[in-house]
Amino acid sequence: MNLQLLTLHHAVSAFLAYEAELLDGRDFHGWLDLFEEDGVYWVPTSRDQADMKNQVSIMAEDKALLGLRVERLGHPHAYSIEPYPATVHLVGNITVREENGQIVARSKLIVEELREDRPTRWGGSVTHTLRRRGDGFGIVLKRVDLIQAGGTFTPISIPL
Amino acid sequence: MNDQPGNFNIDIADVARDEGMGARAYTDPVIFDLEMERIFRRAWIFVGHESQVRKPGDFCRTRMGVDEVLLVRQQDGSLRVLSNACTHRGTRLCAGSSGSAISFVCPYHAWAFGLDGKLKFVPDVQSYPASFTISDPSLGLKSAPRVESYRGFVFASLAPDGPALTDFLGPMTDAIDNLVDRAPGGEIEIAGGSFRVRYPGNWKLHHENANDTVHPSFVHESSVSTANKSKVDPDPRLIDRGQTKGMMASNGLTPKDWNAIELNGMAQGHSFMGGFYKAGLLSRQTEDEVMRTYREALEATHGVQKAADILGMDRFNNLVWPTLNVNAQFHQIRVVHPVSVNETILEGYCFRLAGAPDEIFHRAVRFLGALVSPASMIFSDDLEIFGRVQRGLESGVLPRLDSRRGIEKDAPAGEDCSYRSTTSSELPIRSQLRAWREWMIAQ
Ligand code: FES
Ligand SMILES: [Fe+2]
Repeated sequence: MNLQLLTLHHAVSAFLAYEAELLDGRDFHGWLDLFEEDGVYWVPTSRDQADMKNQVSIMAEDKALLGLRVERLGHPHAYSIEPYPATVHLVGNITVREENGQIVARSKLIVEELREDRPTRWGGSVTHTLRRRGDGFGIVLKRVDLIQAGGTFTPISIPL
Repeated sequence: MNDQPGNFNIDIADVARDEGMGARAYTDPVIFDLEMERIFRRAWIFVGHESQVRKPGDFCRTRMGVDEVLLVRQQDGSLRVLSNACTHRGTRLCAGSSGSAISFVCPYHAWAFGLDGKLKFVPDVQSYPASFTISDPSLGLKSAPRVESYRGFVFASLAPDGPALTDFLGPMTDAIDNLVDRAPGGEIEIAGGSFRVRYPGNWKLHHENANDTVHPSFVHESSVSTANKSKVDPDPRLIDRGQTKGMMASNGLTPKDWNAIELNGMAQGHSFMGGFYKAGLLSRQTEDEVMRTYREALEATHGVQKAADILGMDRFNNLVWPTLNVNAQFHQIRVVHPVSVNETILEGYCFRLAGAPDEIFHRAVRFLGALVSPASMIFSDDLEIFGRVQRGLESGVLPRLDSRRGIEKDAPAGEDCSYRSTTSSELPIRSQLRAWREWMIAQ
């Protein structure tokens, strides 16, 4: 790995850790700001899912829709998140490459969620497509391929 | 059945009183077992859509209550519903959810069953006594004695006799007709994936909630007010043409509006909501280009008047008791699968309509995501409430749920349904309760 790539890898890793910190710290508006204006958040129902139109998605949201989700997270009567669960987003196995002027970061994600006495765990592979923005990055696409995808779910009430 | 599980000294008529169901109907495993016996092994249960098993050998795995079954297309084109348990030692035969087979071979000792369920082959058969014959029908997979399709919707009954399917469905055939008739090409197919969501509550809670017109103002307040406050609209070219926001906002009728909705409940346990368009609570979709192309295709098939009637059908949440919900407008169905007394799996599917523009299918896909995804901003709050009801009932404090809202106004409504209420009412819940009582009491 040359120095340039190593520096990029380091910066992207720090960005992903920062994103996880925002989610666990419930700074959802801060998280939403990480998305570019044309950014998309996508949790497909199968690993080989190619598009959002012909197959259902667990979540498939442009920034406007994601904004709705974020607003609702702050609503006092959103019962499925009352009380809001404690969460830990753990990001690892990060690889980074540059492609057509965009940065593609692959990582593994484990989310531990504890709500009242009930623990839930989500796991999957994440692909972030990023654009350089100022001295950081903006999210063009965050795709979360859950190992649970296609299976039987309990409700997912938190952003992954 | 040899052991009648009915004799537990449960007075069903007392558990299921019109004014409300006894709490033990949601918490007592003995009652759950009796439900499996008397309802799920007797009544017509929805087992799938014909488009899931097009060719001979195609199968898909589903459930009839706690019994896992395979819906299998036969060589002659007919349909069978087979138990998914090997007759040697009970091993589950098919682990995959669907596929195509020439026979079903058990993974344990390789007993092989034909598409018709008959035992075809047993390795080392010479080591069995002479009384063991492969052709013995009792060695075949259990096969549902009655399987029938109504316009592609397949139902099975594990009882050799009982009401005919169309009698059982009653006016609910209209909802199925309407969904199929929406396809200019005359055919619909399940497509676009599906959702399976588990909730920690009794199976009855889902249908009891679906046509409860009081809860949306409260349970869905968080999604209603979020949608109403939002000033930004999603980019319609991308993934959503307002369906998500629209569905979120649509629960925001005032209590007065909800009161204007007609509730229809049938003796068979079915129900639906009507009168949304009539009362002006929903405006018929403003026609964009996709809708225009689609309407024109439908008119070419059915003529202008019939096409308008089909698109204008004023019925939502067509609940086919005990487990199906047909939402024709959204090209969508939901299916309830009881797992245990306090655990239920819900499935959601959408349809592609033959002859309709691709975008119509994309919208159906989107509606399914907005309404049945485990991350749905609407449905997740319903599921949460089911869990809380279950928890509350399991505490044992409440002996009986209260379903008296509107009980004095349950009015007989002529031939198209048994009862109709034009005021906010728990009539749909009472219809389900009465059907439940009837099936549970019948010997
Ligand atoms: S259990 Fe199926 S062959 Fe033995
Ligand atoms: Fe609801």
